[in-house]
Amino acid sequence: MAAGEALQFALSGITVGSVYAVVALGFTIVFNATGVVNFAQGEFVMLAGLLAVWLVALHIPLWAAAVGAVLIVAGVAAAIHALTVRPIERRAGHFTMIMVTLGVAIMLQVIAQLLFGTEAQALPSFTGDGAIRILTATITVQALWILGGAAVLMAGLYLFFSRTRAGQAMLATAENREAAGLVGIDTRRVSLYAYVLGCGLGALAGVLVTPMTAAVYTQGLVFTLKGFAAAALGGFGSPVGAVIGGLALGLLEAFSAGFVSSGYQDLIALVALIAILMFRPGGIVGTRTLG
Amino acid sequence: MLECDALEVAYGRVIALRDVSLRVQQGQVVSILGANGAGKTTLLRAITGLERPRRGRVLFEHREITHWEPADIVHRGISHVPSGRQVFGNMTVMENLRLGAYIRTGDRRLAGDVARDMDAVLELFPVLRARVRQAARTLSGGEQQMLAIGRSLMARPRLLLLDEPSLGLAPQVLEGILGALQRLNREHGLTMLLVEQNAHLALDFATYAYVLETGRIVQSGPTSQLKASDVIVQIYLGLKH
Repeated sequence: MAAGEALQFALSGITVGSVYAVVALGFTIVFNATGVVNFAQGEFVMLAGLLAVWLVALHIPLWAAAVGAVLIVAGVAAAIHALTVRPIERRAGHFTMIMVTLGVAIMLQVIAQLLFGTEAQALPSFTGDGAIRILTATITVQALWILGGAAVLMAGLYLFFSRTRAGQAMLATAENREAAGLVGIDTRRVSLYAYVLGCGLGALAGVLVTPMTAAVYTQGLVFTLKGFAAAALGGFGSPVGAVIGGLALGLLEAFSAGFVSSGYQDLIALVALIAILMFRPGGIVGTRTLG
Repeated sequence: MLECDALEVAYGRVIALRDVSLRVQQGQVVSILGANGAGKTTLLRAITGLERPRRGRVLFEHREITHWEPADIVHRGISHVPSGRQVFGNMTVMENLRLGAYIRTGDRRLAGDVARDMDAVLELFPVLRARVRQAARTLSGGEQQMLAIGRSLMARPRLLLLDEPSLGLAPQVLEGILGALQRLNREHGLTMLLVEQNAHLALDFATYAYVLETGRIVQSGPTSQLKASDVIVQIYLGLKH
């Protein structure tokens, strides 16, 4: 293999992988605090992308459109939590929860189709369409935004969970909901905040990635699948695992697309998911398993 | 201070508590004795809102708290050391104690109070001081029990509920913990309601006791009287009245 090609694949793999990592972190935060495996996670990525495109078309500055899209998605997530998560969390079995979150996913997809149409829609890059040459490879400026954005989000989440009262309350609730209630934490409110945070992370991933990929109402499922695969790959329930799993999946896809064919990259993700569930259900770093 | 009035709790069709009434007065140490499965844990859980009583009322300082959320009950001044300790294992000892003061850490003006209380808890259980940066799951059973009690004290409760603090502990470790609890009661007037399977321990520690048998209170009285009666034999052998 040419070293130059490998560097190129690595760069694009890490870029895509950091998007998966952010989506997987959203999965993890929601799962830990509510016990719900949120199969609507990817729909929030899609929704934020389409909303940003729509807001830009209303002549709103790009940065404001990106922020607005994330805020609207956060509001939608809060409503969905109240209507579908609160009634079932910690009570229903996995099968019921999967059915409910899949139902939400389909509903969001249909609403997006009605509101925004079926065309794939482009969002301008944040700061132009330039690219930077690094040794033998090139990386677009938007990819740098993605990498930087993901890094800032991860650092922010780390500080949030380790240093803030709200973050500690969320960790405590994730670990032992009853004990969290006994120290005075309102665990139902924590569940809401965690759901909005998790879906909001999906939305942030959506506005970061849409300038590179365009947005279309059907793309949510792909992000759900990749985010879920990344979370499972790293170890479900572990935030560190979500990041490692996301990057690993991105690299795996980039190298298989480069050396085999780009048509196989989704297949690779699925095969990786099945393999990890069969041979190492705890994931790369995790010890927890679903169910 | 605490009054339970004809409480009834059921899990589906299985009735766990039936017509349970009890009183705890300010400054008192009261214990609830009973065999495994008598409903002791359920009773504490009903008081702190972890179970929803089907009938009856719970009053704390003359205010009804039946059906309140656990978090709201902590705010009122009751802190519950649950059975099996339930410390946050992946978090450090320090983080566990800070979370114990959760109802006060939202207010910056109370930061000094919280720091002083943290110091007082580490004074009470000195072995924890060397472990403040350690994950709680790496502690021994006795240390975890101390941490669970310390975490509850960080809420500055007026009433402390203790669910089988003796479970799985070596006698010397248990003695240390009971000594600390006794000091809290004598020096700070902290009121306690203790649930115990170890009847000797419960009768020595408390001044008043209730005996639970299959969900009902079958006997109650000052522990000095109960000690003289054959109550311990009844609990262990399950003799009928």
